[in-house]
Amino acid sequence: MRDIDTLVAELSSDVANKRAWQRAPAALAGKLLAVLFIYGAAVQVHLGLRADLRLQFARPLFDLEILLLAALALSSVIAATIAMYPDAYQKPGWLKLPYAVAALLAVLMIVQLAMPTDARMVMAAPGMIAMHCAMCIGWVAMLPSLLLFVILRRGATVRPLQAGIFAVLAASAIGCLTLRLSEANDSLAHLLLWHYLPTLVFATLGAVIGSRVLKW
Amino acid sequence: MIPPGDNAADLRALFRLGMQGDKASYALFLAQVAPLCRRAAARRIRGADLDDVVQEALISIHKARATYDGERPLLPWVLSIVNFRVTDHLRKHYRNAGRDAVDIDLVSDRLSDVTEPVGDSESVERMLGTVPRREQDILTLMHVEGYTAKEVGTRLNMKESAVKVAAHRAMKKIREAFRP
Repeated sequence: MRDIDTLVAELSSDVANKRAWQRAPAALAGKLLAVLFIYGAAVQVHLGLRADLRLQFARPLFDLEILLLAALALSSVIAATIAMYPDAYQKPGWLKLPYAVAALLAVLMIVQLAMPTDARMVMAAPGMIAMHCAMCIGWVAMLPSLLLFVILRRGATVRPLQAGIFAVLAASAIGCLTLRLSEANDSLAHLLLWHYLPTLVFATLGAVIGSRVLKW
Repeated sequence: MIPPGDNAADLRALFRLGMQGDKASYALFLAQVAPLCRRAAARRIRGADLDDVVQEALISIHKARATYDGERPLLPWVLSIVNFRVTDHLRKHYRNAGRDAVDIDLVSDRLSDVTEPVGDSESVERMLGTVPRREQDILTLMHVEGYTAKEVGTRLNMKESAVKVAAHRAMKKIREAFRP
């Protein structure tokens, strides 16, 4: 390789070609969230709303689940944006937020398993093929995942694996949220197996993709 | 290893000037950051690779310069890039080290076959044949079957000390018989 002085001379001659980002990550995260919100609304219009949605919103645990899914999308977008900066914009705590929200969601689902079934919950017919739920989440998540990966590539993440997880987790959370508001099925086994387990698988896939495509 | 506050502020000022198009300030910034990168990388990398990693870190700092606004502390930003490059370098290094490992199948024809007998001199039976029957039994019980001298004594109706003496004499005879 060259010596340090030659390299410094080469790099400094190229300094004017790029300007520092003027916006803080909050501005970028805000824009991304707005885009994802519009996308989620469009998907919701396409999927429709479940007929008993008002009744379900009277159930605090359903409300909490919806809130946590929204929080998962929100925190993942923020974490992905923060992860674009090598120093995590010196706010590394924000990178832990999506994991904390995901853990809370897991706790909520596990706690519900031990609780008596609410009469307002709609249970799917036994033997129902539910693969389409996982596929629906995957399809819905594909476009926002792609968008987030493209934006993440513009940054300089030193956490490509985590950034990949955040991108896919944010997109999958939107898929889960829209599907939860449209599908009249509150079976916990169904939700765990066909909604949240695939989300976990997609996030793992995001880690693999992130570690490959977010190198710089 | 981190310079005092004033130096860090100077570096930030140089960086900001550089980002406004002042090439000389930017060159000075890179020149002053290079020793910091070297010190940070030297904690995990030694030898000739160190220079390569410092250069890779400087190139990465240059590539990622848009992600630094010149407002927040500079050194965490620089050091996270250096650590990233060091880890990247070590990962490649260990991956290549695995690739350079010699597959034993490729050199098996050049290695002696250790699974076949290598000659009569190493035959245990032939060695034992050089000592009387009683001593053969003692050596077999102690060194093949794993009994202690006391247990061998009980089995052969001998004192423990006599067993030890007999075993010692037998080993001496074998050693003399096969001395080259």
